[in-house]
Amino acid sequence: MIELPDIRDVDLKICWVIALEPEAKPLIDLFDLHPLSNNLNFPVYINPKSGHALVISGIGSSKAAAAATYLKMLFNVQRYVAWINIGIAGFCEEPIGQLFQAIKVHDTARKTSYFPGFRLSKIVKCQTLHTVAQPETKYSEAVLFDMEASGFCEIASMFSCNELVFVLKIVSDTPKSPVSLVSREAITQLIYQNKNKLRGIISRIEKLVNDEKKRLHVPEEVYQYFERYHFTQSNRYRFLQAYKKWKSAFPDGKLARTLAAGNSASELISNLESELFLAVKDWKLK
Amino acid sequence: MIDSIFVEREVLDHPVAQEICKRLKHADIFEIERYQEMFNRRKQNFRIQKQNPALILAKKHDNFVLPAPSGFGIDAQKNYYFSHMYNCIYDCRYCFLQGMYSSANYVLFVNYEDFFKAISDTIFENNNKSMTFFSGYDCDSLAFEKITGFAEKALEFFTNFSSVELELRTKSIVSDTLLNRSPISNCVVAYSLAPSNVAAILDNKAPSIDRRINVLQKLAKNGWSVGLRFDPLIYCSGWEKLYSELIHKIFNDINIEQVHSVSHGPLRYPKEMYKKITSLYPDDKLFSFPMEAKDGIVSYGKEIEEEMSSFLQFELEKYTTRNKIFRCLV
Ligand code: SF4
Repeated sequence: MIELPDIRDVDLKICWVIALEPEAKPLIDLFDLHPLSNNLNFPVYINPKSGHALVISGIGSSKAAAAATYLKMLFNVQRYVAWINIGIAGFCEEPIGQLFQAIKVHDTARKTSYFPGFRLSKIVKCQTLHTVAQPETKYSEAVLFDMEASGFCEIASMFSCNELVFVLKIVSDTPKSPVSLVSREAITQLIYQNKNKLRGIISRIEKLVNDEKKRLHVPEEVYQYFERYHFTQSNRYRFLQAYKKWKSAFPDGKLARTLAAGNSASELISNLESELFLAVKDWKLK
Repeated sequence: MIDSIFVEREVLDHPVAQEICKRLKHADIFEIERYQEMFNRRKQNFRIQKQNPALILAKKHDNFVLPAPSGFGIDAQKNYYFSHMYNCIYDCRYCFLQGMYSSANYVLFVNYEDFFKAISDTIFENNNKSMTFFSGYDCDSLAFEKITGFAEKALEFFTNFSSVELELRTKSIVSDTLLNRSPISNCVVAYSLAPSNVAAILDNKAPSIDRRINVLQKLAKNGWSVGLRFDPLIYCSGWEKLYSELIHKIFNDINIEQVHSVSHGPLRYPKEMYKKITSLYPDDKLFSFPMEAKDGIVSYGKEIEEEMSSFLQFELEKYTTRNKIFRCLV
């Protein structure tokens, strides 16, 4: 088990929200996740090295939302992190074991739709998913059926952005092979059999996460100035904006040198801006 | 290309929607209620979405024709624009659409007939006034033509209204729609242009400047009126030489009679829009320039704007008459 005090420093990339333990098991194996503690409201697993965390929510849309929130609070999950809900689903046709990305999630009770995730259509088939309150046995429409995704989508996109919230579903039951026949072992097996595809999907998602992390990154050197000088809220923003421009214009520039003469927030901002103004005459676009 | 089409239930059977789905036969089709439920959602990430936009087919219900912002038009008394599409297949770094919409998905309004009806109503309401209708304000007029077929229909329509002008603004070299038919005198094909190496850095996914110039010269040779749009003017070291060479290159091999108008305009954004766009691309050198924010507008500042504008004016007057040159100030 991992000691609790360290967990808020974990640099996460992907948060998994899974309804059932048999669905989670293959992912726990695949990403070498370890249980965090026995005393949590929801079982949580983590691999701090690879940056994956997983929570088991139980069945139902509100539980999925609650578990996602729990994970977010537990690790103070950052905006650039991707959220994935993966699990089994009913579908109107075979084959059992087919993996889909749900790109439209419709909550049948609340009559609301979500359009989660950057579409990974080059590596996985896309489909509409209906989140229902009771297991679907009639397969009345040509869509996937689950019981969690809508709650997950609603909450997870608040923690990150819509494009980094993914719903992946594996067909477990169809009119020919009803849900009552799906065993715990079968569920685990269905996820295992998609592991290669999942690896491809994860590596694409990690690329998006890394790009987003880079876009939102505020370097440590900026915080040092925030600590050393008094910044009002608006000066903080101005400093950050000026810094970003300065860094982009002079990637090899030394901040300490540029700001050596500054003694207040506004002087620091104006030092950054002056250096930019001096470069205008010879401005390059690249 | 496009792998997913979201179609409003209401237009599933519309012939344009059906034709487009047929053209994009490898795309998956998903039904939606209204395009806004997807397009206007909060917490979308434009930058990520832009890597693989979906197409949304929708019905427009109102505001088919709108007055063009002042400073946008050329010299007609009345300037209007219409937007049959939101967003663009190109990815110009300075594009204001990135700051205007929260989604990078393409919305295409398939009820073309309602646009044409609204345009003809506007023409009749403004009897005897000189008018220009601008297409491609919220998209590129021709870039998506192979899929939409909109420009072709618009040309047919405007042949019946020879006293009003249609401007198709584009960076596209997809010119078959135009070259395969005889030119119509009241249509201006206006090309957005920038020096080659500026465009190579900023006009992502758009055809190179050489190819744009080739096509516009070809169109002019075939009798089409062409417009030259140096908008937005991009500042960088050596910009005078770059713009001067570009202008020379264009006018070197074009029948000046076919040049309908030339316009130039500065790089400007409303403050909030600029904030949004720069947050999408904080590392881009275009946005690290120390811009000036004044009266809610972010720009290179008066001095640079004036310098660039006067220079362009001077260079253009070497090749064409002053009455064909316009300064746009949107
Ligand atoms: S061509 Fe025009 S509309 Fe398209 S991305 Fe470029 S600036 Fe935007």
